[in-house]
Amino acid sequence: MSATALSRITTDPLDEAELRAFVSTPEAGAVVVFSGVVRNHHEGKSVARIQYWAAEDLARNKLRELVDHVARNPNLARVAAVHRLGKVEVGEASVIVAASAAHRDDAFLGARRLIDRIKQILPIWKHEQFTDGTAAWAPGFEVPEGERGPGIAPEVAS
Amino acid sequence: MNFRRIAIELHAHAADLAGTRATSVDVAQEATGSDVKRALVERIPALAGLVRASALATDREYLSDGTAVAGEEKLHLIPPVSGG
Repeated sequence: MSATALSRITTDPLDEAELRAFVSTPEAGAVVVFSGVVRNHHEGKSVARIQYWAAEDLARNKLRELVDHVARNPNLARVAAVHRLGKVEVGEASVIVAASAAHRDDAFLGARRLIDRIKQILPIWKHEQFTDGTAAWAPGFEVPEGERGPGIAPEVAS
Repeated sequence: MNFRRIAIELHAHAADLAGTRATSVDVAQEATGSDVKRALVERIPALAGLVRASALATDREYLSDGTAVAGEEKLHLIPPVSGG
């Protein structure tokens, strides 16, 4: 991990303030922090919690590569991304990304790229547990062919 | 022909369909990812549909189906992902 990028996969609760502090630097006039939070509904069903599973070593390596990749954008000051595993209750964050830059457009774009690529390539799976006692794996995204090789593929249009 | 055994870790819905999180396949020395997938479906036919939408991976990177896998002792089968 470079000095300008932070990544972590953890079963501990996530801390927005930690990421905000990490990306805040004197030269950054824009700080964007995005939290993905477990919501209480999915396709008409009432969700109690989500349990997150991962291929952990691969997930750690890909997340580190991804934040380093995004951090190489010279218009960004710092970037950070953390993803939680295990049981995450409604209202708790499952993922937080943060990006800072001199100007807001770059910070928004950096955070957007982080969360979009996290959802596309990290080997993590949601097991949704509903209030009626049933559970199901969320439908997912097939890992793109262009990501099947070393490193992180160049930016895809979004 | 020389065969080698590769351990396969199954995850999420793939593990549920297979009824196990760990299995193995025997493939030829020159086998590619496609050969591993074929052998996996032969071993666990319940995975036939999901394997087509899944990627193979090491602990470090995803592999294309054309990649030679002879050097690998363990691979992951990564079904469609739903993190975030």
